[in-house]
Amino acid sequence: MAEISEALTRRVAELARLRLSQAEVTQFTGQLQQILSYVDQIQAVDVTDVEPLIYPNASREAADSSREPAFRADRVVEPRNAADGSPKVLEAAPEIHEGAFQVPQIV
Amino acid sequence: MKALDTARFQSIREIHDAFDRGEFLPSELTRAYLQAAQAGTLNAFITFTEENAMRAAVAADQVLKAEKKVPRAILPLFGIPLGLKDNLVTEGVRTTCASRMLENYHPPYSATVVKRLENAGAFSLGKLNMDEFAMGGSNENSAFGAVQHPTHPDRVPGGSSGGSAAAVRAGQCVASLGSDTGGSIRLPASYCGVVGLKPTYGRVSRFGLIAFASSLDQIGPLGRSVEDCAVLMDVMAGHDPLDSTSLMIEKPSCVDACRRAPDWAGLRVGIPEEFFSAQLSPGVETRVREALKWFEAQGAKLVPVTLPNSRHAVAVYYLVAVSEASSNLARFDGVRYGNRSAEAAQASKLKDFYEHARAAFGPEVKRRLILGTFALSSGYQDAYYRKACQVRALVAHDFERAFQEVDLIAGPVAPTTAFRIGEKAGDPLTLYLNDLLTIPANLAGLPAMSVPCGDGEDGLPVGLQLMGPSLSEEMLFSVGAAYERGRRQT
Repeated sequence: MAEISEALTRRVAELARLRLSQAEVTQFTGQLQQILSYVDQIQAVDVTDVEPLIYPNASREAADSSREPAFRADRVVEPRNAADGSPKVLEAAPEIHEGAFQVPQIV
Repeated sequence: MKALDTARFQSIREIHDAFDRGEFLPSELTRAYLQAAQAGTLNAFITFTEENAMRAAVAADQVLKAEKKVPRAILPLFGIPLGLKDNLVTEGVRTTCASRMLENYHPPYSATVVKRLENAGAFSLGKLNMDEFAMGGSNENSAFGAVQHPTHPDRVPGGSSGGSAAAVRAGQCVASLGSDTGGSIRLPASYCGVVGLKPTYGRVSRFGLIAFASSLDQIGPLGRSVEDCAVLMDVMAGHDPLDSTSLMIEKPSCVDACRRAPDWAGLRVGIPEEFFSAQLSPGVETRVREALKWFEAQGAKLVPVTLPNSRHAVAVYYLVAVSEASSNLARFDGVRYGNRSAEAAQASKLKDFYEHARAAFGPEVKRRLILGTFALSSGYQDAYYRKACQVRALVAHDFERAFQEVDLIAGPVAPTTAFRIGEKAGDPLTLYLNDLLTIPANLAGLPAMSVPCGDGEDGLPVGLQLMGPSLSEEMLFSVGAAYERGRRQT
């Protein structure tokens, strides 16, 4: 079984773009170790020749070979403001500038 | 006029009959529900939309005055105030997912299910509390505070659709929508004594559901009666071109199914031994076994079945769900919507920007994102994510085998009744294990219903779980409604 060290917790948190305090690192390391030692029961299960189930309706859709792929019209249905016609999607943005999403300069 | 007691209404049909008799108008009913909801102390709602609701209710008044009768055939949810779990996006109405990440998010569009309910005459009173990003089974993981159990304030209502179940039970909305990834509709329905359905994967469009784990998530109804859930299902189900996972099949007729008695003599009810283990509390076991005896008394045949791989279901789930979550929640980066903290706005490196923005996630979300990122990371992916998907296939095969022998499978929803707020806090694994009876249906993509079957020895509600083969919702509604009628008569 994988041993969860504080360094591994930090490394994985970094991959997930989460910054943890030292208290969180300590707490999560213990909890992850506990959860992993539980889920490790699956290692003992014999899965020889078992296809992984990624998506529940995969076999149904594969069996229905007559089915045509679903196409819909290539039509823009972007919600816009009644007042000025600007895209509503910008209203939820933390910062916008001249009709674009604005972010801090990072290069 | 005396204020309406919203807790007295047991079904949509009863409300429509009262509209027909002119007992009250939709706006009077809606005001009564709003008052009950806003005066409530359960913390079931995060956001109220009283203006939208009253506007829709007043418009319904005009229709009723003109037509004299509820236009049921074209508007099956005419004048019905609902509640929506706060992970369903609603145009212009704040949608938080119970997270600081989306504290001020006003989506530019509405979920397909929301539009379909509105087109059927319903409207929303507001957005219901939940576990943050639907991650939890007790509704204690909300950035807006825990929801209380509707009859026992020291208890949890279950989660993650805790607000959805508590509000319906307390008469704060007629019915509600929840979402179920590992039991998040059925568990709170069971704890709060209401009916809840997780439909077959692909039955209901998820366009506009903020994704947690995409191979498991499914939207479903919670209501005070089996038939109310059927009314909502008939409106919501059906293919949606905006959701590529929604199945291209005919809509079910769940209301008709409720009114049709099951073929009891031909009905084989599977009883999985794995669902009656030592972890069951005596009160839960007693109530569920009584329900099974009732089925037998109607002429159904009880057949022992075995789902041996369901003992691995929790382990599989907490690898698959967190892996998918770590991918789905990568979209919360502070660029186009969601939290961008003052620190993020000052960041000079991209990584700092992301990390500051994502500091808005609560502890359970962080824990699951780290676990999911681990399960998908190089060197561990085959041993964890891929292996979990293989064992998931075995869990699904167990059901396929069982459904060759039986028509439906019955058992408890949860091993115990609602536990105390704080009782399992700080121990994530214990809380995860509470989902062991609901997760198997999600892993296999099957429909499953929770129907109240009485109270445990502690006076708290117990839920009976009915699981069927893929797309067997009509059968579940037929059996569930018959059971409910039988129970109300005794």
